Amino acid sequence: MGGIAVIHYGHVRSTQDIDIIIEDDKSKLSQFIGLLKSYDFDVMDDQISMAYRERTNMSIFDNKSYLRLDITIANKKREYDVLNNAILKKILGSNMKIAPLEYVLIGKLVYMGNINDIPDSELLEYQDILDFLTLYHANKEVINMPLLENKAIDMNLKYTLDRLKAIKL
Amino acid sequence: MEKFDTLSEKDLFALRKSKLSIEIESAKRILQQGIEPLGIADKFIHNTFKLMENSISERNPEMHIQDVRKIIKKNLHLAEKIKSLKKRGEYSGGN
Repeated sequence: MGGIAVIHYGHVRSTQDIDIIIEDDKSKLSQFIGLLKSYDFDVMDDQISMAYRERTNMSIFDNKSYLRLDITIANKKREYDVLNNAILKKILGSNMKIAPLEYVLIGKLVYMGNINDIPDSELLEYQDILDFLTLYHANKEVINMPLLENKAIDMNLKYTLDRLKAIKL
Repeated sequence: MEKFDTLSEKDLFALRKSKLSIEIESAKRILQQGIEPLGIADKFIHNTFKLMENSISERNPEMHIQDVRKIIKKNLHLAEKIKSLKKRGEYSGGN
């Protein structure tokens, strides 16, 4: 749900990280980590083992650029849902699987949670809300609305979706 | 069927806090390399536009580069419009 997908779908904002969700498969993770090491990423084995054990995110810095990878091992239904529905796109010359637009929007809602008690004056202080509104309005004609609405209902986020949709530009 | 888990306020707070500390660590790391902050900003902005230009072209292979840039301008304008609502505290809808 990170900055790369947000920029890909049309929101001009900078990002320092590439968010990656990978399936829970220790041998594949080891392979991936090995690959990162060979490309000069600053991999700390202890940190990786601990993050894998405790199912927390791991951040890996690239020594050759300003970017870092924020890696999540899928262990929740919504994470597998994104993985299973990811679509292959060519991004800057490389084939990458990224979340479809509707899943990026849902991700923004998930990370806002229930916004019942956030007053209007504070709503636009949240980066996730700015991201949601920009992507939503930039892609209104192509969003699969029934999919977005059904996912919001499944995740008890219909109020959050409706409130954000009600903001008139 | 297994239900989708939702994040509690406590979870969200912990997530934002952890994200912020990673951002701080990341910024410190970059600054320690002795690179000018403006140089870093320039690189980030350049990469953003490059990625967006590339994404629009991939989605619309027949589109001329000038039209791709028009879409970027339109998106920039939209983002500015949303930010200006924030600055003025003026928008309808919501609570």
